[in-house]
Amino acid sequence: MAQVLIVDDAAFMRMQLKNIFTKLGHEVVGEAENGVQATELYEQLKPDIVSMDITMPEMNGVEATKEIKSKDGNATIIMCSAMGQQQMVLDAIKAGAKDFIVKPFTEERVKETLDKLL
Amino acid sequence: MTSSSEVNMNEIIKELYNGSVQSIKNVVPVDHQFDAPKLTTEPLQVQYGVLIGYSGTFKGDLLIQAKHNVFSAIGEALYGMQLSEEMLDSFSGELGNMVAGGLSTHLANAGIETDITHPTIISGDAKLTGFKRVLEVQINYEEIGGMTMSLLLNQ
Repeated sequence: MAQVLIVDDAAFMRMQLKNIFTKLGHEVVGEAENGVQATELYEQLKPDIVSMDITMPEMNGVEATKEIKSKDGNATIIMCSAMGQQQMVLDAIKAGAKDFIVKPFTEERVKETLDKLL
Repeated sequence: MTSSSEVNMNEIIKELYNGSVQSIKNVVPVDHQFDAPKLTTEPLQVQYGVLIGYSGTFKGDLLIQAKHNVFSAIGEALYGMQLSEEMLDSFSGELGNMVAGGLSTHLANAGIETDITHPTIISGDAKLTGFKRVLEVQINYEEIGGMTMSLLLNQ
């Protein structure tokens, strides 16, 4: 069972991801609605996995990923974004993300990523 | 004679239309029919909708409008649950984000680079102006109702 931090500015999407992670047997230990909160919560909670949206107010997901990875090179971050263009995926991977899930996604797609990374 | 900037804008409009239709079909896999698209310069009246801004090669906004019950029924059809009023705004914003993100991905594949803002919910009786023209598409979802997708073009 992994401990998960969910980062998304949409409460609805956080609820969906929480349902999926919980159903897959993982524990959601925190939720953040922007990149600034995500970096703070990451330091406090040290989760095994972070699901990270990209387009968010205050600090976007790519910047938050860089910030988290600069402090913990072992952080496992999955980008979870509606923007699936190649450049966006490349930017996320360069920032340190381990995988990229394009919204809308299915439970199976999330499971596939978790199975690969855990 | 047609100038190269007009040709380029026509190409962008074609990709905007194709991409938005493709994106909404992908995000909302519910039986539907599209009406013929319309190009207008009239101000828009909005009761309830979600607005997402585009920057980059295409500058403008995507507006998705429908009645509360239509957004709610789509949420229920997609996720199998009824949404509270508070969660409905969040779902509507996320629906707009997913359609706008899908369109942005389509545009990138056609060589048109864009970025999107996070969604703004418009609720009440709002009049939108300040754009040059609007490309509007009406989508009719069977047993759910109608939705209007508008691309507000600033160029």
